[in-house]
Amino acid sequence: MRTAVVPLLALIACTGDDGLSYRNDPPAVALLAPLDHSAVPFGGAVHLEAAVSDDHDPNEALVLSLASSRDGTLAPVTWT
Amino acid sequence: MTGLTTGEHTLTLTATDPDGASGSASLVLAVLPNQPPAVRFLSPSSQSLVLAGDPIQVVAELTDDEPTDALALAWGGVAADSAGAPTTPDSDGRASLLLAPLAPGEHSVQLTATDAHGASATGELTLTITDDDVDDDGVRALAFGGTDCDDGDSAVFPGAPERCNGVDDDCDGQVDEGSVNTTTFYVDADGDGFGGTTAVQACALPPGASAVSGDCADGDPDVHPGAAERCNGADDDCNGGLPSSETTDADHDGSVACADCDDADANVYPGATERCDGLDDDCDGSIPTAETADADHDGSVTCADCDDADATSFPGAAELCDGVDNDCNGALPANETTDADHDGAMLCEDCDDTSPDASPLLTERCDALDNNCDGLVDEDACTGCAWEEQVATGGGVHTYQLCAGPLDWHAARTACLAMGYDLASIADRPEQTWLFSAVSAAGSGPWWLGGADELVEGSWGWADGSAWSFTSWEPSQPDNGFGGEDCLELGRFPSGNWNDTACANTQAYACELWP
Repeated sequence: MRTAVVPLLALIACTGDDGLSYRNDPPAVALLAPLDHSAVPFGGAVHLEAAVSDDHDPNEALVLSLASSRDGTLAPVTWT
Repeated sequence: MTGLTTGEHTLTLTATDPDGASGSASLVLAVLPNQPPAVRFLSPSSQSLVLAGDPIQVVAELTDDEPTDALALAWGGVAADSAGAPTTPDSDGRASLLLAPLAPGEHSVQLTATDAHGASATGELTLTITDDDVDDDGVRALAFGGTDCDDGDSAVFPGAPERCNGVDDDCDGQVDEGSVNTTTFYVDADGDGFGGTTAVQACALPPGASAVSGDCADGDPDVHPGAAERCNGADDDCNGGLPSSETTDADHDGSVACADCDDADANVYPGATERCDGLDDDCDGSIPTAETADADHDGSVTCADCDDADATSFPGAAELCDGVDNDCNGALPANETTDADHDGAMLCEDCDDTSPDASPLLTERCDALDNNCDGLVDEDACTGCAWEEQVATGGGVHTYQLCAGPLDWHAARTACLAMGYDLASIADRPEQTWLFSAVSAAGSGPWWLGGADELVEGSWGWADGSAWSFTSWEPSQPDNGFGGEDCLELGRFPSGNWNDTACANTQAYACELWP
């Protein structure tokens, strides 16, 4: 993985307001809840909690999307 | 987040920055299948005592994986058509319903909850409605503080009329006392199942009583309706009369038909003297042995037989000369009692009841008589003489004594006469032949016969006076040899023919006794 990520980072470069070019890493996403491979009852509300960060952009600038392998794209995700 | 379908999901969260760079993370989440809601009745509890007439507050609790406000409720049983029945739970997840009063008994309340996905569950509550006066007799049951000792029987309550039913109808702790529907029984003093005229009122048959009356003699257990009539002149079956067998005496022997074992025979009745008739004259059920036994097998039973040990004695038997009443006529015939000659032998056995010298009791003597009544004369009784008998031509038994002598002719005749005989005479050829044979067997001769011509020479005759009608002279005889042969002898010649010889010769002689 590390080997694969590095070339990708090298290809993506952005120009800042100062006119300087810098490297733009993708946002970091980590799912905190529910636990991987847990189960929930049918019909019950699922509280999804994730930690998202980005090296240059504030969180509000990030666009979040949630998809299910069974149900497809789920409802828009909002920050809390 | 809601609305996930059942099954395993891989959820992927993607974050994209304004520059189009994105990062994501995934997890696997299983959504369990939809579970139906649960329905649980909170009140009333199954142990609650619910009285008829009281309203009933039913409360059910509903739970589900999803919020319960989405559940649809449907009521059934006695709550099916209840006005105001909630169709959704309240905010506490409960549903309440006030039921109208129910009749006593068991009732069911059903509540079905269905979630948004069609899964449903039904809870059921069984209500037992009780009544403090179930029998509606106006008195509250003991269990509810009342005085009705049997709230299941409307005829049982304090003050109710006591009845013959084995129940304490008036709840006073006693059963059937003073009942209003008693039965009439009758005192049955003799215990025969039928009472007399004394009536007793009671619920059940009292000891010593009967449900049936009609006993016309309650002191006699053998007298009652239906009893078998006994031959006692009494109305045993209480029908008011006597059977004809207790009043009829057809043979007028003083014993009514029922007691008389033969009411057609005046000699037969209880107590009658048994007669020798082969019948049960005294009606004791048996015939005396004397009327059936015949010990001597003479055809006459003991009572009729004057001597059942003697087969020669029975009614109708021929009288025997045995001094016994053979014919059972109660008397001996005269010939068994008469002894005219007083020789000890009765007439019937005495060959000559005019002579004491003839009797079966005597010993034969040499006297020309049948002394011992054996039908023979002088048999073996004359000393020195051999006894013979011969049936003469034309009948008649002649007795001969062949005596050894030796005597001359006259002495021989005297000796014959002394025995009651005479010297033998010969009447014909058979006698000649027989006598010659007899003397030849008796001993050596010659033998004097009774022939002689002493009175007139040549004029022969028999000393016993019998006719000189037969002769058997030896040829050349009689020759009156030596001038003096006047007496007849037999056996001089082997031919058996006669010879005349001198009367003074001494020799054997033959005596003859005519019958």
